Amino acid sequence: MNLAAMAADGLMVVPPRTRGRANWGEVVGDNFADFVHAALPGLLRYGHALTGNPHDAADLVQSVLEKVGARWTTLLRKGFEPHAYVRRAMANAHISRWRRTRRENLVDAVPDQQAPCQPDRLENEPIWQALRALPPRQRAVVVLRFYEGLSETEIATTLGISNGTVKSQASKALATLRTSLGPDGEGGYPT
Amino acid sequence: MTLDEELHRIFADERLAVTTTGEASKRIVAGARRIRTRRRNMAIGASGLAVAGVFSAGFCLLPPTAPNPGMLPQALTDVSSTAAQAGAPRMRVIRADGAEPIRWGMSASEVLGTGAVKPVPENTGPCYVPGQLTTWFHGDSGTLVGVNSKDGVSYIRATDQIRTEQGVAPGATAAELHTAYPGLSDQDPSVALTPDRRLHFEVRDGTVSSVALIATSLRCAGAGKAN
Repeated sequence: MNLAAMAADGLMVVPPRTRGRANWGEVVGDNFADFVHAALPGLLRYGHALTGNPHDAADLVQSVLEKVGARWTTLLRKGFEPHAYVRRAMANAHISRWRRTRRENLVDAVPDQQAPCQPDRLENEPIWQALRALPPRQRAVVVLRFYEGLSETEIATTLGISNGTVKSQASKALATLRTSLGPDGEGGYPT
Repeated sequence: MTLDEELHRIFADERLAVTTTGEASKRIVAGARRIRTRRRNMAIGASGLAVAGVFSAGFCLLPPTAPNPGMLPQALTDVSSTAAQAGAPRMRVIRADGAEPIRWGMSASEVLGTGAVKPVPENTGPCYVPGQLTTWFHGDSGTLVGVNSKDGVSYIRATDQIRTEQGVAPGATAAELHTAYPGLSDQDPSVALTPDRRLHFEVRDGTVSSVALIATSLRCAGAGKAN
């Protein structure tokens, strides 16, 4: 279904975001299937930025959208903006998931059957590797600020934390990134 | 280039895009419908019990509206099956290395430590290994776990909230089971996952009633019979 057809069906076409903000694809309506169809590429991309790999991104998007879809009518009735709600849920689900599973990641248990696995195409980017090494909450703050272009207050609202925590997390994250990428003048990044 | 500019560059990189299978949207919508149906049925069940208590009358749960809750969609993308299996409400996947949080080979104390199961009274279970003690634990969703003294967790069975990597869950029809696992025997519907463990399906009245991961060294009575 194209945008015109969606508009004709009563779906709302959201205006393009302001400069610096992610383009979410922009179809919001009362039909969950249409929402998923329009928002999926953007959400997967956002999930990739949040989790650091396409596999976790796909799982994260699927689990969050399924839960959101199960409550779709209720959420719309309560006035939630679906894109904002989903990306907030994704950020928080990712952080919570990491808390639950980080101990498992230390266990040396190799699955007997390896599923087909496509390499992350950003693997060779030093900045990407440095981002992936950040703790999930710090990475979420960086993603919300630089990928989504959210303000400190918006990030605080999205993650359910204080403005001060956003500041400290962003500060730590950027300091770590600078350290990881080397000192100024040696391939590093000035402030 | 400043760090800010570099971050904007990497987040604008087209390689950040994740490709999906063509059916991804449909799978998500089906998954949402399944969750909604399950919640609705649970709510109806709870209210039904209350009504039965007041009127001493029978109550019949409505069948799920989903086409078949036993056959689950494949993962969102071809690559997502390797990702973390976390997410409390999500259906667990039973693999050769166990079904989270129970992992194959765990000791009895590790199994208890997961908090997901409790010892079975009088330690009764369907299987045994000659010369070894097998300790049995049970939990939600019909979970039954057998831990033998030598090899640790050697038996994991569940009757709900679990699926195989091929998407078969309790509730799937025999036809769906055979489609997912071609060549499956009707007499012993089992699939060898590794040389020492197999996936066993219990089929009752044409429907999968449980899925179990069983060590081939176990001797089992009735369903799940290994030897």
